[in-house]
Amino acid sequence: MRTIAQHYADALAEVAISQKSAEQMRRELHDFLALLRESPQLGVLLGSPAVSRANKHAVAQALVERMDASRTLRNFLFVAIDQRRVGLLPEIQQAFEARLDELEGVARADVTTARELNERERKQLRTVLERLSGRRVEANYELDPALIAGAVVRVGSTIYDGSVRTQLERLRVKLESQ
Amino acid sequence: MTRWAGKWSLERAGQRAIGTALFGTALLVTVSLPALAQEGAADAADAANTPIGTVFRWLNFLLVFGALGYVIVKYGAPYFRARAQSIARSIEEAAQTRAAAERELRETFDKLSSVDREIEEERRAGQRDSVADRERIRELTRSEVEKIQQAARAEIAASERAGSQEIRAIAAKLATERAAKLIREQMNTAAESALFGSFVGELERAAS
Repeated sequence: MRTIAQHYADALAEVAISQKSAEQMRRELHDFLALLRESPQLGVLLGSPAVSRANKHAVAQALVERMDASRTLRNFLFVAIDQRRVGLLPEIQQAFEARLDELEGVARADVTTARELNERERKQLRTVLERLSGRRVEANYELDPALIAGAVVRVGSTIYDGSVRTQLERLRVKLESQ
Repeated sequence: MTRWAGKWSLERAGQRAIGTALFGTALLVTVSLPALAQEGAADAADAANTPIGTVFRWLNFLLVFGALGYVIVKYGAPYFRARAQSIARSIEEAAQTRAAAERELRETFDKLSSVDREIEEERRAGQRDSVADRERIRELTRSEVEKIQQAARAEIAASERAGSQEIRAIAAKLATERAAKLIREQMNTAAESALFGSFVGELERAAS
């Protein structure tokens, strides 16, 4: 069942794809959400029924100009303000990025390793993940020394765990059950 | 038979009463004769001493005696007959009462004799019940003891399993912690690269 946020995200993604400004829209929406997180009062103001629609539009217009963002983002914010969906913007952003990835054939992978991977290893891993997912992989790399060695990769809802920590944990469970 | 005996005893009682009355009357006349003779002796000694006087004197005596006898027979007989009947009824009732009492006595004796028998039977039944109760209690106790023993054995076995499991868990935890420490100490870039390569190789095998 599609949520309200998904409907807004799909509409925005289609507009961005048609204008060939998907990455720009992704970045602008990301920056605007970061701004909302930094000043919660701004979100309260844009979502408050006590503030007139004109004043909210004026605020959104000023923010877009200061961010040097596109008219598409401004128009989207106006729609969200008019429909009182400002509180749903974080969900809309997530759904928007997922929808863009889907439309662009991109799979996002979270790669966690115990040490920094060199470029050859990253390329090797990305190639394998693209073969597994059938899509272009955009990987995000993180370090976690608790893994001891190996790596943990999450693509969507699928997790590939090749860490020594997990192997030791499996060994511990096996020893306990014997 | 009983009715005939009662009637016979009734007639006997009536005759005895009439006889008693006549005897009393004769006795009274006999006693009163000297007095009558003395009373007449004073004023009519001469006339009475004649044969005619003697005859009249005897006639007078017979008249008085007959009248007296008639009155006694007329009114005394029913009285005495009723009295006799009353006495006979009393006797009959007494006989019935006696018979009832004797019957009750016999029944009482019978009951007394049966009481001893019943007491003996009760005692035997009590002994049988006591034996059965003892056996039942013994069986129940044996069953309870067996259940307690089984529960205790099960509890001991569960404790053993839990203890064994806990020991295994501790041993496994210590072993893996020790292994992790050793791996960290001996890990180097080459080993990490080998492990990463192994992981990528598994992914490749999964992809192909």
